Amino acid sequence: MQHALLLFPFLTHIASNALFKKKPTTVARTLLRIPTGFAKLGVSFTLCMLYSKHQEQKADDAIPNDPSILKNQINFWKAMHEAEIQLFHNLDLKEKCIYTLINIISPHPSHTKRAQRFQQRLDKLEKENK
Amino acid sequence: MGRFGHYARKAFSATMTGVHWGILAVPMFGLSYGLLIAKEVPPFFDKHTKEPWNSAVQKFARDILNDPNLNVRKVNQHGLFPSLMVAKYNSIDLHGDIYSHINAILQQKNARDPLEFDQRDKYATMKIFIDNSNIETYKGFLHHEYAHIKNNDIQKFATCAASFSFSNTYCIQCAF
Repeated sequence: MQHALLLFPFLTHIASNALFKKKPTTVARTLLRIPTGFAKLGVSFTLCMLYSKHQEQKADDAIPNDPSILKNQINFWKAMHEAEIQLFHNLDLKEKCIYTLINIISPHPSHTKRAQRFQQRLDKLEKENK
Repeated sequence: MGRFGHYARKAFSATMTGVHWGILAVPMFGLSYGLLIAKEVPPFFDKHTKEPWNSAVQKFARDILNDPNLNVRKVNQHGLFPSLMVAKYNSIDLHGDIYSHINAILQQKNARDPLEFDQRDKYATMKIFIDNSNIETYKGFLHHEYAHIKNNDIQKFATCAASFSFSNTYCIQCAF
């Protein structure tokens, strides 16, 4: 599915054509193509990142249910979250805005979400063992 | 409208369509193929048995990832090889040389390069990775990355920190 990235622009194109059936005049339509190109790129990119987040979660789920591995993963993602908070406080306003945007469009789920998911798996495993 | 006008309008329309698709599809196309570039690592021999890396690491990879059909050459193309090597030899000591360098960068306070914060973020990630490094952490990440390869996902990268530590210089995998 690595070619899925190429699929997203076509999907957004088809969706927008279906959505906006009333066509403007030829000149207006022609001039609108540049801004609509950027808009569709934004939508395609966001879809792609959401899909990547889903794939990351699936790969996380493939980590075996070994308590020691799960504990290490929890510690790692918690430490990452703490480092992120510390880094965020040291940034100025402009950097904070860019950093927030990077986090939103990141292909990975947030560190806290990943740690929580591993914690849930570990709790479930410990319950089953008892 | 005369013939010239007709063809001028057609040409203008075709150009705009080209620009539209250029804006929309070219960055996505570039991103897709950028992610698919196969990465090679230099030949490596097991320092203990003097075996070539492929047989030594393949055996280890098959054991650790519980997959008797694992092809280490395929895994290597997706950048998992350095992580496997670090896991195999548990060579956390490789981190030592870069640890002070990372700390120095993290403590820089006056740099105002626009990308500086991103670099600080990456170095902070490295530091966390090094601080939390042990065989169990690596095992977890190996399983994670191997799942990407098996699922044929978009992302097929080994953890940068492992590659970085293995090469003992700037990351050979993603030129970090």
